[in-house]
Amino acid sequence: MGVVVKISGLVKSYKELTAVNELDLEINEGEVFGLLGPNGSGKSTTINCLLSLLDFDKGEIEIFGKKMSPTAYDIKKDIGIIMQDVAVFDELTVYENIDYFCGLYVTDKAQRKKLVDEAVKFSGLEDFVKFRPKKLSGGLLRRLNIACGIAHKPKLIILDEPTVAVDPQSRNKILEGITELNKQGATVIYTSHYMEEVEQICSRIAIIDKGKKIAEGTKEQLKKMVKNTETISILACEAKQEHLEQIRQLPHVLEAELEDKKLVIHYSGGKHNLIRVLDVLQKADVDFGRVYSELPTLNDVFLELTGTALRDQEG
Amino acid sequence: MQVFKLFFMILRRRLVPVILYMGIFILILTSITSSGSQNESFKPSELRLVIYDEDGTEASRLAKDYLAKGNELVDIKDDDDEILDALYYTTIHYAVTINKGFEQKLEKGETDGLFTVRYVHDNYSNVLADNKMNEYVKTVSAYAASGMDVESASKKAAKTLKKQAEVTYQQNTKSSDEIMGMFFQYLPYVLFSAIISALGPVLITLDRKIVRDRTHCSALKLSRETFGKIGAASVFVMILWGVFLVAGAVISKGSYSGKTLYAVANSFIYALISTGIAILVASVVNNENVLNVIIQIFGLGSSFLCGVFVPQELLGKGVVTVSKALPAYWYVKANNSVFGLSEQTFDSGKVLLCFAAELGFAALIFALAFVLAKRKKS
Repeated sequence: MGVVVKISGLVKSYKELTAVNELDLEINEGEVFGLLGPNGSGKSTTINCLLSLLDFDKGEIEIFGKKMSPTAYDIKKDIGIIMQDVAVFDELTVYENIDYFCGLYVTDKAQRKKLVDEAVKFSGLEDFVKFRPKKLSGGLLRRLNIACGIAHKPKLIILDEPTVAVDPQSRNKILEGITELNKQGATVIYTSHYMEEVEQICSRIAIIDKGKKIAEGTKEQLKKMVKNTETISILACEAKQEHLEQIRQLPHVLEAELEDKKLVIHYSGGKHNLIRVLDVLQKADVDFGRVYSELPTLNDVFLELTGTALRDQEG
Repeated sequence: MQVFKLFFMILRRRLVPVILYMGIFILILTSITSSGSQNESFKPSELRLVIYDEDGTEASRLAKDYLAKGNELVDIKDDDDEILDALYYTTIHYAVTINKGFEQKLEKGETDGLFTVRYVHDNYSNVLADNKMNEYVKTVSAYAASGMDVESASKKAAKTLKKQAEVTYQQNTKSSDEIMGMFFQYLPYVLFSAIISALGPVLITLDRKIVRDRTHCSALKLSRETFGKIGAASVFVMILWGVFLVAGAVISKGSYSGKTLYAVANSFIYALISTGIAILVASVVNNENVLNVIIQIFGLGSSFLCGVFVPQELLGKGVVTVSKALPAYWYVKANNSVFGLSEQTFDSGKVLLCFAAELGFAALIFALAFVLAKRKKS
């Protein structure tokens, strides 16, 4: 598996604000690489530097083993870009838009027609080819945005928050599409501040905050970074302080809290934790309601690493 | 080629204002140049008169016959109320009573108190009737003074006054050169408005940051993108300019030869300047509404200041000083020289000097547009 993108020591500053600070990344062929971070963390700046849309202060960027630059057209021809904002022409129809952007890469008319037709089908826009973008819903517009970016069948696809302000149904369709593109052989870089999306489709993830990479790895590797490996919540629990003390003595328990009849127990590793705690409650003849067992999320990873939740920083 | 084609795909949705500008201009020019060209025949005004002869002499009868000639004689009872009603309802324009002693007074050479007249004041008909009576009386008096008796003098006067001036209509049609002069006089405003209103929005659309970024991420070379844009804009402006020239030739029923070729070259340079302004404005403005305001302010403002709508010789000294800093002034000055307008005479040297000034403006505008576009991109 070769390295498709290599970013070394990237620094980009806007006057006194350092948007990207000594960032190193390696993205391998065939990966869906997630760049996760809150708004303003430096994701889009990194992507813009990667695409040579922005000059950077320090560092090196290589794509397909070659140095990236504004005039590296031999590299650019194999890149597909889907921006956060929908970048299409309102004056053109859906088909004309896809054809135009595909034409920036593919000059042969017959080949282009085939590719455009495939992109239309892939993005489920068959019934809307003659529509102008203003007549499309938000979800369809996003799909058109994606179709314009992938019609020329690029080897590397960069998606910069493509699901912002998209309804859940369209979001799922988009995520399925990205997975499909990856299956067809494309390497994908996916930036988002929606950790569920990143968790769902990315094979490897880098978490960045304030321009710095704070963690990198598969989701499993990232989750191992947190002490809290499991959280068990028991609702309508009639437990008393003495029972709480018993639970705290169980193996792997990090912390146990009881508030408004809700018992929350945090674990660090271990198996069969739920069976053990339920056993304690049954033996003590304590009534209880619903029981939940939650594994750590990327938000927990972010919380652990930065001290703030990813969600707290959104918007 | 992609950008070239895209330019025209976007442009086709922006052609309405261009067609409107062109259509209205051609319509107005056609109506101005065709007015007064119809054949008209002269017909003397005819009055409706009532004449009462209280004298009953041969001289008064001859006077009545003379006044009635060429007018419509209406029969109304000699009653004040009826005459006033007839005047009020314009059944008659004028009521004349030939007073008793008419012949005797004429014999004595007296001209006062010969008639009593009633009419509606401030009416051109009265003036006409008054003139006719005065003319008659003066002529009869003149003949009588020469020794003729009143009857012979009256007959002689009627015969003399029978002669009428021959009236011919001088048709007010404009020559092909005059129409062409008028066409090129107003062309800068329309050409400027049409070019900016079409080119401006297309360039703004192509220059939107998000699509520009997507294009710059693609395999399309920047030089090809730039040439595509410039090429398409040039082709559009040339077509538009060509259509205007054809319209000018059709309206004026003339052809471009001799000194009118200077006017053609002048309009081409102005089209170049308008293109430069469109590129300059589009590189600064992102909003089409702002663009429309600029079209109106600059288009109308420079047209009024530089003598497109008002002849240059009527402009004040201060206005001329300001307008010299605008390209339209030099366009109009060259045009005036070519077509001999605004008291100018054709002087190819002066015209070429105006061209040089205009080309200087064009170079300045393009340089400024280039610098601004580069700054915007960085």
